[in-house]
Amino acid sequence: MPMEVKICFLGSTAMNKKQRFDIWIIVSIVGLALYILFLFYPLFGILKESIINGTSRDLTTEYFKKFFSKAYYTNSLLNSLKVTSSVTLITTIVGTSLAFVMQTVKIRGRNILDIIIIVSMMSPPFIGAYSWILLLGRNGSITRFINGFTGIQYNGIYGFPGILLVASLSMMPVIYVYVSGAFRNMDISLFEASEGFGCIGIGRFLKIVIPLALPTIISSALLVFMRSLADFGTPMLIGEGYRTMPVLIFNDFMAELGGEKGFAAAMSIILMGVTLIIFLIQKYYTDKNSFTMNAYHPLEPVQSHGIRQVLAYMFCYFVVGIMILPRLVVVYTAFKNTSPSGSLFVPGFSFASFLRVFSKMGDSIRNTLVFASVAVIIIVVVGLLISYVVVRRPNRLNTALDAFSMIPFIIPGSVIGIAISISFRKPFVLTGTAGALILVYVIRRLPYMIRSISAMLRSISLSTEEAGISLGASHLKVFSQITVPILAPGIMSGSIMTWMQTTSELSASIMLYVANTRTLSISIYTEVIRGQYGNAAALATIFMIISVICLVLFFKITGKHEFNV
Amino acid sequence: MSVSVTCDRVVKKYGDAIIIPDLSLNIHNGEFFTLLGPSGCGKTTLLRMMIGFNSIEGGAIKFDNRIINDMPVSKRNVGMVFQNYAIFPHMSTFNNVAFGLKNRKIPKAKIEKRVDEILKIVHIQDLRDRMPDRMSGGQQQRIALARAIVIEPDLLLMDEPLSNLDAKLRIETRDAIKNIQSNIGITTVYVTHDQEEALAVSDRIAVMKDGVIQQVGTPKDIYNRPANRFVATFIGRSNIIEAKLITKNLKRSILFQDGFIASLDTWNDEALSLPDESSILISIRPEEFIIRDTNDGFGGIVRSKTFLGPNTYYNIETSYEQVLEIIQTSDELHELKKDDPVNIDFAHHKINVFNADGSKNLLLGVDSNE
Repeated sequence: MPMEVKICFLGSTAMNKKQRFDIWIIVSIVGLALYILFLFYPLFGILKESIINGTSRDLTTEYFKKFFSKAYYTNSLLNSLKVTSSVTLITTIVGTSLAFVMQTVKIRGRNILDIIIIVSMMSPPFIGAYSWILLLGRNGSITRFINGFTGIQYNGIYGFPGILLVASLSMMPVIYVYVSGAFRNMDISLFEASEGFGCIGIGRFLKIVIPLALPTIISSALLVFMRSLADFGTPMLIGEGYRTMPVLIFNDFMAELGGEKGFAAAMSIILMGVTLIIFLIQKYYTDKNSFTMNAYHPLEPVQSHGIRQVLAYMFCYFVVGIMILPRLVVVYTAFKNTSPSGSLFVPGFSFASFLRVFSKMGDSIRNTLVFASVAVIIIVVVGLLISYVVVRRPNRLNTALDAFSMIPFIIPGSVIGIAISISFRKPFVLTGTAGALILVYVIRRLPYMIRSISAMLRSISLSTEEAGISLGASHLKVFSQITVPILAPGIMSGSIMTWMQTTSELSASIMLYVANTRTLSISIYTEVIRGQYGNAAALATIFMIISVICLVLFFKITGKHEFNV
Repeated sequence: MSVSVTCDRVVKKYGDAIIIPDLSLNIHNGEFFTLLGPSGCGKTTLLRMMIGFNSIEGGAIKFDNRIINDMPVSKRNVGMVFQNYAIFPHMSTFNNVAFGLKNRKIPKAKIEKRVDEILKIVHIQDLRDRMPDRMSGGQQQRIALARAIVIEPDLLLMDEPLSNLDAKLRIETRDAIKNIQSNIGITTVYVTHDQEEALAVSDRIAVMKDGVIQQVGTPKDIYNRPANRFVATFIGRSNIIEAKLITKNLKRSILFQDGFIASLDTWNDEALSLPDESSILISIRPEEFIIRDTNDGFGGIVRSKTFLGPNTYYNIETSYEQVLEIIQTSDELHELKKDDPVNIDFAHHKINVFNADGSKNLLLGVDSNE
């Protein structure tokens, strides 16, 4: 009787008029104020900067004209779109195939493969970039091997192919994780039914499996597109002459001389415009084509034989092997001795690199742990309160809050970095403090937390809270003693995920850090740029160890090897 | 302390949509009262107005003589059992049941004693310290019931409490609820769309449709003398056929389409004031038919039959457009076969007669409201 249920649900929101002015109204208003201050004000700042001349302070369109009049700039936009589309296409095809094979064929060592895939997802893409340079760069070990063996002069995997390789490998896990989830929600009976109609093998895969997973595939492809378009570290390290938008924005914004902040702002607006268009197309598609699936008898991997099994094993182990390869290189080189300048690896192994980074860059490790933890606490508290009013108190204000909370999804990290940087100089001084970094962490990860808590809240029936009220508990008591404890396990695992992803943030924090607010990911990046490969490898290894500990904790808490980003 | 509940011209609106236009109702102290109706009839809405989860847009709801329209939920002292049980998943059985008592600042020793008593009453003392996640629907239902009655509410509300249980468990739990309710004697308002359930547990039933109460009465009254065509067809099954009102030998009688005439003595004033030849509707339940060997009643042909153990269902084709549904006690000696011609009569005192639009019963014995 869906009709009646709906009426009751709406009814509960219009409870007694007296209860309308309760603590939750204050939460909504404060939430709105926070969005205005920390999201709209900076975005407005960036818009203002892009249409006002830096010296004369007059209204101008010169920055946009400059961008579109020179091939140097428009080519960067085209480059960005080209590399991003290619990455999206490759990761979608390979990621979906990998998810399908792993969900349908019994593969030995599946858990380990899963963990490797997730660790690759968690570590920042530029670590991959740096280790592929060690392998396939100008002086890379594989490059030297090939050149020495065949006599050709291969110059290393820089530019377009390099970005493509590194970005694809680091984004593929996103597709894999999401699409695996969709496959797990498919009921085995759907497969059996299609078999009953004589639809099996590749036909079944294309006609049944793919269409069923398509909404998930599309939305995870969008995520990859957004991340890849905004990715700054990868093209910066391995792109060499291949300019993409985030690199251009960063260079123009950070350049001590000659760079124009207004022009960087204008480019940010253009980049945001592109993501917005892509987002709207995706939204239009999913709104028209959404359905839900629920598996009573979920798909389970089955034992296969012969050539099928061989191919499945080869495919899975090959893809995952390429994913893990750069991490192994990083760990290996972290223990290698380096020349006194630190830029060359010399024979022999020791802990020298580790000792050096601990003594010289211990603060960046500490900063990472502290900043990420503070950010996660803020994200959980704010996320919990906003999700609660959005889900349980649907009114105009909270619907607006819900919409606002999704905006950071589509803003590239570097744009957020610039926006915060130009907006909080005076009178609120945040730029140059730890507060600036924590703020971008919160802005970038809060939407994910709100989404996941909202989903959990929707699955708690309203009557559970009503039962508490009918038993004499106040609204606040119901929230603290019933709602929050029920959500606690989910929030806990979500916090670990958020914490992990926060630690790998680079594209916004790189614009905002100062010497004493360096984090691990910033240090890795700067050490690579400075050619201090030993230090970078040691830091990256420490980073991976932290990630693995988090992951183990996460699996312990959730008790399963599945998760959503 | 149990209370009586009075709804006095109650109105429920959501924006411009009127869910309950004008509803009045008296529920006696200690009574097991059921709101029965199809989905969307407003029965759950009314229940939620009583506890305070829904606002009241007009009229008043009174507990005894106190108007509770603006009283907060926590002050009303009403226990509620929810359709999905609404068990707190993170608390043991004991903590679920003790939750309401803890909110009332009752000493710990007393809480333990009261909870243990209640758990015994609902027969789940073995589950005292277990978490609810692996419990069956029936067990969760008992926790929900215990949790609602342990606070000694003035009024107990139950919203389709059995709809998520399987058929066998539903009957078991239904009987348990009825027993517990009559033992503790608390005023109970029970919402269901299942007429059999309503007949089985209720002292009185209010049949609702589109936010309007169609009839209030004991299960027997409602079944035997439905107030209108809707009630006749919603509670149990009824064959509705058209006929004419005539006067024969100075007695009001029914003239059926094929000329068969049946006289009744139990007409109400309305029936007596209607002119001759008025169209009326006759409502005959399948079990009220009698198959005759004589020429009484009207003729028909057996079109199909369904054997259901103790009873056998027949579909009989007559001169009426619709096929009549008849139930007979299964009896091999008198079994009818497909295409057998039959004469069907009915127990004259059992049938019901409605006016042409089916809105009123024309016989004595209908107490609409009270």
